[in-house]
Amino acid sequence: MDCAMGYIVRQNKGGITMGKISFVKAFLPLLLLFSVLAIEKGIAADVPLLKKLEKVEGFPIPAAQIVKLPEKATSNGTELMMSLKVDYAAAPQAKGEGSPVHIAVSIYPSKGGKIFTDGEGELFLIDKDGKVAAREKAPLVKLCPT
Amino acid sequence: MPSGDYLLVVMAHIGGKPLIGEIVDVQVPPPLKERLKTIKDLPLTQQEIENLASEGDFGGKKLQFSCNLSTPFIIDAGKSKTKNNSFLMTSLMEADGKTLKQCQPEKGTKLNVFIYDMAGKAVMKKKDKWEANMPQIQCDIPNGCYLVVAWTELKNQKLGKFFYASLDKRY
Repeated sequence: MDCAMGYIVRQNKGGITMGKISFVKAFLPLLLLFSVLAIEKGIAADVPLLKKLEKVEGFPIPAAQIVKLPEKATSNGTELMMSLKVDYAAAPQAKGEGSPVHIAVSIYPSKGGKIFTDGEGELFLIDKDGKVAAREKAPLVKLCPT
Repeated sequence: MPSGDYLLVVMAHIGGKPLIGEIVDVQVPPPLKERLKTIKDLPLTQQEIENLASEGDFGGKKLQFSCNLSTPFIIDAGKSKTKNNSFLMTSLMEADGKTLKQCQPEKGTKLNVFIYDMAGKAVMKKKDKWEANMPQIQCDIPNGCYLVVAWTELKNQKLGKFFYASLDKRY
């Protein structure tokens, strides 16, 4: 017995007959192949970022876990989300070769309500060489390295 | 922070373990005054821009000019974010004792907005009439760091500000 796309070829005593088989059965191997390729492509899209992060030393969890951290998560039955704001508002007074960076992080319930403060925020500012240029860990609500 | 491109990794530890995280491309710009020097087609002289005040006394009224470039994050079931529809929001507030109340400038007042990218190229040049109470200007500009110069002129006196605004790329 030999299989071809969309057709099944049977060798009988009287000769070879071809009959249609179901569309799903015929395309199943192809669908599986496309699914595998799509998954691989999805993973590949994160590779440059993952590779950058894998070179960084000092993360509390592996880089592969960091890239998978969600932007929303549930804790004690409450869905929480992160608000992150980066600005350079203090820049007019800046001296030297750079600018003050103000990073504000807060966690709040996605359905609205008070800012969630029961936890810690941690941030890493990584330069283009993969070195940690700034690191801060503080109680939630605000993190402001400059 | 020295100017340059950085990757910002933020995580929230809740219940003793990392639960939520964000990874963002951050472009730290050089000092604002240094950047101003490198822009050739400034709408005002560098001195005039540096002297822009966001507060002023106008006939006994204390007015505050406010301007922000921001992107409303459209969160679709926690899966995707759209970051290409940033808005420049401007307002004029009048200090009334300890409180601030919104104030509409006189008819015919102009709002001037100039936005420059980090290469010093103008990505927006606008001189519009201040018509809405809080004008919102849509800016279809890519992620990155921008220098914004915005001002209005009331009774022959400029009121405005110049600042960096960051539209960060989020992973």
